[in-house]
Amino acid sequence: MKWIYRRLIIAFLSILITVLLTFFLIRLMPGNPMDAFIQVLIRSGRARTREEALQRAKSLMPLNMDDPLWKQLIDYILGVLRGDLGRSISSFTPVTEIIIQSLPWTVFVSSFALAISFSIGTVLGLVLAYKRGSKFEGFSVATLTIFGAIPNYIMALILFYVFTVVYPIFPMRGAYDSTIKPGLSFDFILSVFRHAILPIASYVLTDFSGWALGIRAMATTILGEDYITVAKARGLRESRIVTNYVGRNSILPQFTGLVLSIGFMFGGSPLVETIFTYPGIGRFFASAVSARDYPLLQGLFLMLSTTVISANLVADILYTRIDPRVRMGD
Amino acid sequence: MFDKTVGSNSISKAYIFPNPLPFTEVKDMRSRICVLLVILALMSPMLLNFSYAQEIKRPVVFVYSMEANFRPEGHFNSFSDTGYIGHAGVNMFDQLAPHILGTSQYYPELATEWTYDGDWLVVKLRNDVKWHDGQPFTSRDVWSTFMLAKIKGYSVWIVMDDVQIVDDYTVKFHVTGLKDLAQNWILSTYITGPYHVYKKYVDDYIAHPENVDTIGMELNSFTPRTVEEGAVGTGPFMVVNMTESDLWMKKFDGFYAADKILIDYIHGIKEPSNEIGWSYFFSNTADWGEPFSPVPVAEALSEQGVKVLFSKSTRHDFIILNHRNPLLANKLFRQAIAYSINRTELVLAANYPVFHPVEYVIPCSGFYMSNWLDKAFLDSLNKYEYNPEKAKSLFTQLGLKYNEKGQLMYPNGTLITLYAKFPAPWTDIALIMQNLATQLNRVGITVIPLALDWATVTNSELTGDFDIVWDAIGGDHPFLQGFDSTVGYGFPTYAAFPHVIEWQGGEFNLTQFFIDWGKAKSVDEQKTYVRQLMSIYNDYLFAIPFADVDAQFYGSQRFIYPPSYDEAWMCTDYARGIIIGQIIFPGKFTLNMSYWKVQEVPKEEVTQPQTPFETYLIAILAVIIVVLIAVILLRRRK
Repeated sequence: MKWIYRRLIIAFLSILITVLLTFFLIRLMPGNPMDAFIQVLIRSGRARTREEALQRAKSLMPLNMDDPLWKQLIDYILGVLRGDLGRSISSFTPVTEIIIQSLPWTVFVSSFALAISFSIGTVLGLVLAYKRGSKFEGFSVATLTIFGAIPNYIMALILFYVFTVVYPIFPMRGAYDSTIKPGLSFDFILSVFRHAILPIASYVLTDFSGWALGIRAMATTILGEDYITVAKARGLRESRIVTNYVGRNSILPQFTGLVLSIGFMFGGSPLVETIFTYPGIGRFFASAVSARDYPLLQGLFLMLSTTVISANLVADILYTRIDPRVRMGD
Repeated sequence: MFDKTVGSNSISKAYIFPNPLPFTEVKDMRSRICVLLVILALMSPMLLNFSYAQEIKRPVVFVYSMEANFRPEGHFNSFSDTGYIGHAGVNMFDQLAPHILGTSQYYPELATEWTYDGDWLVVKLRNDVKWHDGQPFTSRDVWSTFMLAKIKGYSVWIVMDDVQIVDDYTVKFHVTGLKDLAQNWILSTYITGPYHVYKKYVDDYIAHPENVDTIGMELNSFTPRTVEEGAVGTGPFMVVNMTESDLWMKKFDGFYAADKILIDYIHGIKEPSNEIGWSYFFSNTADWGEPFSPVPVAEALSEQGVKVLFSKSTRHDFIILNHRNPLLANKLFRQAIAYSINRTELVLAANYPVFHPVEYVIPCSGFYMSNWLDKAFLDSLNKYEYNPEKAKSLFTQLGLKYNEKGQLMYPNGTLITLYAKFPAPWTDIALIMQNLATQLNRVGITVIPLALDWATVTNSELTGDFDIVWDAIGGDHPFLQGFDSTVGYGFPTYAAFPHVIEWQGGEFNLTQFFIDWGKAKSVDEQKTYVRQLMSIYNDYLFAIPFADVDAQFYGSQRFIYPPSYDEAWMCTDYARGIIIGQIIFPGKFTLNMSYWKVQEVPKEEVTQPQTPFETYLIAILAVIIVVLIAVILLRRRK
């Protein structure tokens, strides 16, 4: 238990350091929310003169830009402790509300994508390891490397063009059909899945290769182990050897990556979500950076760092359960 | 919302067999049923579509794409600083009388007439207007709109200091000096603050004007999203639904000229980037949009039948030279730069059809030129034709010299290096600025182009941290055009433009010039000031304009769009948003809009919402079920 307490304290300190770092780092970016908002007001025609834009921007700023940095930091930390992440400068909406509204969409898409890519990648990796040296393996590894090298936003653009323009099978934008009233209806659920297919595919097609190549490398090593030779000598079925002997052992190192991916899953992808106009966290990341929306950026980074660090902690704890060779505190 | 009910097929009806029946009859009956079921199965997709088509009234839906953000930014309170209603507002609200740049005329919307009585602009209103929630529109709504504008510090209050209700349908504004400008700003204001919705804020302000800031902040938090919540206007369309990516508006049957509205729904779709915007047209998704595109894309779209349209715009692209840099503060150096730039090459570098090199280096877009500046005056201006040799001679005249590599140096031998900043997300501007660097390198000036994100470019401008920066200027009024270019956008502050300059052998106070200009009431008097400013600008070159930029639009085959000769349409501010109103409401501005009509469209193209994918899934499922039943029945036969 002592080990867990120590890990919990380290996790808490890590989150705190991340909060402090992000607080200062985002303020080191050139520009500030006031300037960005003035520009938006002028360019959109909402303010006729710079003076009008300045006055409106000042009246809107939820954080006092003139306060010294240390005071802003203390205000922010006190706010976080109270559960108040502040209000977004660009939308004047509470940051927690934005996260609550957008997170489910990101988690929905990312979790499906992760589950699918991990499953496909694991099975494919095992098959490739078992068929090592064959033409199939050579071709597959080359293909997987190419897929793995494609950024997900490029894949998203390709899928967008092919499946919404050339063959308009899937919807172009949004999380669901805007003519359907959200609710627990068949229409709505079907619509949600239809809209999620292309974003999910963008992630899966670029991520599964990483899992496959990773597990292939591990499984190849395991296949050379003595206990595999013994298993074969005992006349066990190939499928049993692949799943029970090779699969279970080679999946262990992937486990940490999987749990960490679960943590990163909450961040979404700004570009993929922007391409599909998907209302997830990633899209807000993109808009918050361009608007220098400090409260929103801080809130999103806090959420992301908390999930990643928590996932790391969970991975550490679970790993000791999964792999008996690893003992807490050892 | 739309009725998306899919018509049910009746295959689930139970068939009651008479009992007892001879075995052979039962066998025949089963065979018949099987055949019937198989036929039904094969036909079910068709039947489903047919029933669907029968049930859904085929509304005329106008789909347009736009860059604007919706929720959470887009709630329908125009007085909230984050509630930008953008394109939706154009159709949801009416102005008193919009000013059409192309014709320089005002067209009555909510106002029927307006006259000056001394310093009072008296405006008479229509008496047959209703808000979307059924409440009558009166002068109190106009008054409350302007009071809300005062709470929020809108600049219309620069040109007026009072608004009063005369009677239910008459309101008057006390104008402070700039009558032409005041009329323009007041009449073009969208009436977005119905008193019955915003009563609390207006009354609070009247009772406690000292609490203006608090009331202003409270206004920010008022976020009506539905008609019931107060998202009401007087315009031809009312809000139905809004998601992150889609906006639906519905024809308002109580609109004072509802019979002229030809479109049932407006469907706005978000365009996260130009590339996605092009896709909307390649896939025939949108009827209208304005994503800028390079020549090859415009041609490809055109070949596909998309109408690529251009309209004159007031946008005028500049390179701003920072006068904090002593070199750039020198008039001769700025003139040398102007001679170093081949403006045609510059705009061709982008390969976007919207850019046209300016003929005259003045802050007046081509759009206004013919109205405000005569040919003789324009001919008297220095055109700064591309002349690198002249540029080099000016550099020499300034005491600058070249090193052995042909690079320009200060007299002390230090290399002259200028940083040119521009927004990276706009590829056309990036190409132009890179070409600018190339061109200036040719005359020996080392220019380093810096592609940055918008916020950084803005910050650089505001803090004066640049040598050269790209920017665009546009104005909604000829008077303002000059005003904005030199004062309104704050370039004197950003780029340290001087307030007092040397001009015609003496000192010239620009600040006083603008004050005097502000007092000019007649158009002729204003023209004198415009000419004087253009002369000064042309010589002094505070900044260097290089391109007039058209607006670029795309239209589908489903609607007929106006011909290019229509002056009313040929202007961005009119076209950008109001054109949507025009498509929807021919004659709204009492123009000859006979070409505004909906084409007869093949049924399958106009149906909205389109047959959803689930219909086909249900159909396929039905096929499978029916075939399974058939198989089971046939098995029993054996």
